[in-house]
Amino acid sequence: MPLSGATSGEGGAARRPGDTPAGVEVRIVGLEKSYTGRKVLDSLDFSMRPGEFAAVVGRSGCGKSTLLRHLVGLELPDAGAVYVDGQRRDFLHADTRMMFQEDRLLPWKSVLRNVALGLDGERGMEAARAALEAVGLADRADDWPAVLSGGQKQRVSLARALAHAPRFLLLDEPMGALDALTRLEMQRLIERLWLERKFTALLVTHDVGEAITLADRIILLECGRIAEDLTVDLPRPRRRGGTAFGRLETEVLEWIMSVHGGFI
Amino acid sequence: MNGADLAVRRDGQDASGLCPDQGTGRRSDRGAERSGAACGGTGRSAGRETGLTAGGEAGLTAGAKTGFAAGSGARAATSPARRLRGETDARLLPWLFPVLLFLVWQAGSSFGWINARVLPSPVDVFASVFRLSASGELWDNLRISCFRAGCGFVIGGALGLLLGFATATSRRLEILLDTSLQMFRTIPHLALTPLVIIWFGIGEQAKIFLIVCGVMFPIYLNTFHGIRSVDPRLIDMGRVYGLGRRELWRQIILPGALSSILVGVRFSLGVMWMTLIVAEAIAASSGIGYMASNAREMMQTDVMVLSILLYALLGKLADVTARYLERRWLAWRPEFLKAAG
Repeated sequence: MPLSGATSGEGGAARRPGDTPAGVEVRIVGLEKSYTGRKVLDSLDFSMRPGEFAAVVGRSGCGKSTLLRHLVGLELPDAGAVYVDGQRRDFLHADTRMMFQEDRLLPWKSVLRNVALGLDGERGMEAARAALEAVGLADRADDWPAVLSGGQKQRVSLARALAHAPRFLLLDEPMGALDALTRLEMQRLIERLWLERKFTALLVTHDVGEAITLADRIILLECGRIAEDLTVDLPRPRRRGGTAFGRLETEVLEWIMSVHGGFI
Repeated sequence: MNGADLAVRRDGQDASGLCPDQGTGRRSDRGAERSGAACGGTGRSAGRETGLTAGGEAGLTAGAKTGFAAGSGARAATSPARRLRGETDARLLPWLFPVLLFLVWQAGSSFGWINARVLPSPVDVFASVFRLSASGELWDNLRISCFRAGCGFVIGGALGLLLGFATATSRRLEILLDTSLQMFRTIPHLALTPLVIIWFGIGEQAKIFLIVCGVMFPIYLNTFHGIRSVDPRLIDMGRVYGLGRRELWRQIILPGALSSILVGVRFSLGVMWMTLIVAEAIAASSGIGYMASNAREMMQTDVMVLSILLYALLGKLADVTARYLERRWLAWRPEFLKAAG
């Protein structure tokens, strides 16, 4: 049952960027989506508390990215619905922003103008400057994206999301293409900003360690369904190497490998 | 185990790409980097441009910019002297061949190896410049030729651009128009000349119409292609970040298509001059092409050579303008950034 058109419904005029917004509450009910007859999401149910940080892990092609595209409003489900703060959500909304696997910066705009994308006027520029400051790239505001390194580009794209003061931040493997050191830096940055701003965050990742470092909760997606749902209650900041961390990492990896049998 | 393996491998791949950027980018003066980016491109081709637009303002600014590029380049390079010499070489070298050619030509004429009826000497050609400009004939013809070229280009360019936008945006319009446009495109537009003379006589409309026909298709094709090849992921991103239809066009689709559109513009500038030459030689009572065909009747080879040189000059000027626009509007492209060194 396709819903009314997925046009942009910008209702965020009252909320100013720079406010510290509390996160939204999210409820997903019976979400289903098929592409050319193949079920990618299969009656998916789960909910997130306001300000919760959840991570979705699973093998490639298990529907992780599709789930995010539904949550952000780029796709309409075949059945089921997403409710944000109790309201049915089937359009793009100003309180939800997404970081993509690639930086998706506009190469023809300066770093600052990229961050200010979708924001209006001088106030938008201020929000963009503040966001760049928050990711530590204020001094690169006037550069072209092409001269930045991969890690810096992803930080700019994080700033772009933050400049909108989102209450729901979706992270689609934003650190997948970064080297290990840059990835660690990026994880700490995201954790710090999330602790400061308390938006609701949903991270899709292949990296189990990353999920355990950042998330309150790890959801294992398998064939469009939730196979496991695990609460992580290690104290923050979490660092790899601890026994509890290691045990958890092994456990989650076991899950992933056990479902579907793997290749070996 | 998979996770760890992956991390290590990616790590190895990316570290090499990452470090140089961070090292140079952070510390160096960003102002210099940017101006270098803007001017480095100019520096590369300034040699050819400076002379051709010599005397004009363009020549002056190109010279000034090259100097600046050399200055900022010297700051970045390890060996400033060598760098400077390299740039001077790059500026002068393209002139070596034309200058040699002129010298040989002049020598051939002076020693009587070349019959003046076949090919006049360069000095004679320059003399004809003074003769024709003193009588005002040269400027009148030049003005009317440029007017025709400009009108035809603006009208044809606008049509091509609009059609490109229309067919690239709407499936229905694409189905309706694209096949026909592709069919018309394959007609050599100069084949229309006899028909056009019957329709419009030898007035201005005939020439402008032919130029419109020639200019429209390269711009149409490149606009269509440019818009269609804008990365859909960037459009998704724009939608997520709250851009409406209009803003998507202004901030993502048009800038994304611009480099392709400019390729069309450069191509159609060439077509523009070619069409004008033919049209003026066949059906005109003024213009450079007319001047040339008129000179043929009176065996004035110097004027004929002058006309050819004028066409070369105008063509080059148009190309230089297009390249300038490219460097200005596409300053973000890696190839222009790299030119900064």
